[in-house]
Amino acid sequence: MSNNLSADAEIVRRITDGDVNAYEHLVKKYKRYVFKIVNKHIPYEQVEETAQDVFVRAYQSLPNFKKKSSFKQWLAKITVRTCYDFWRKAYRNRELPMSSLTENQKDWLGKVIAEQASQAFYEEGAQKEAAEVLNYALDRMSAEDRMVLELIYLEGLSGKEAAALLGWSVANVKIRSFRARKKLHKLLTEKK
Amino acid sequence: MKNFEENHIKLKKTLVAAYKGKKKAEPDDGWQRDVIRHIRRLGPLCPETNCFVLFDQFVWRFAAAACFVAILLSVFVFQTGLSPEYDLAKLYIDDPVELTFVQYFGI
Repeated sequence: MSNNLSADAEIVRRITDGDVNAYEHLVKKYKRYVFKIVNKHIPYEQVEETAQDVFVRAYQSLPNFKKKSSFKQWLAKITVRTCYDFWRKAYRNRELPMSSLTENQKDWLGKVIAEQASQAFYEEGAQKEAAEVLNYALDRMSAEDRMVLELIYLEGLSGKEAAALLGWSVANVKIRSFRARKKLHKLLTEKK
Repeated sequence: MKNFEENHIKLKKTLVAAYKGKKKAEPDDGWQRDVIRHIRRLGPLCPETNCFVLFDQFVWRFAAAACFVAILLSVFVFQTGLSPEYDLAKLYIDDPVELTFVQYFGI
């Protein structure tokens, strides 16, 4: 493990000394890791572009890499924050969604709550319904609430871990998490 | 209340499954080549870049505070009718020698 850390630190040193080509080693080593994170937060069509933004941003920020944490942890923070920035821009540029859940989606929700989910979920089209309902709810959150909900509620990270990734205070993250969960339930259970 | 909690757990499990079951993109060689090409266009990192990074990090944080102070001062000047150029000119006209002496020693 420490060999791995020192190998990354050595590559970073070479890059900050001017060896641009050395960056390819880091891209090759961590591309799957970055894609794994970006895939969770960003729509499929935008994943490649966002992942590219992550590596460009990481390259430009290399002089700030303090070596207190591992390069992998540092890169994870940049990746999560790039995903957050994606949603901030996306929310700024689009109109507010006005539609409510469709009848199919409401039926699906009803089945989930009535304990028919194990069959309903795997029936043809049900997975699609689940994803649509989730996207419906997430699209109606702010970028901040969306990221906190995804990291804590859906991925199961602790408030401290989510705060470290996002660069926010733990208190801020916990308050947002509480409010976002309440909002999620309100969105999915009203007018059922 | 118990019903709500039970429903919440079922709903959460299903939403988590939908979240983790998303279609996933994979990095291919073409994507990697594009990234490296972009990085090469940016060129090597150099010490001067650090200065810009520091500037970006610290100076812009004060921009909002500086704007706020500027607005406050403008409001104050507007409200009080303060016109320092006239006051300074008046001081000079009243006592040109002492004012010059004071200014010279920066008092």
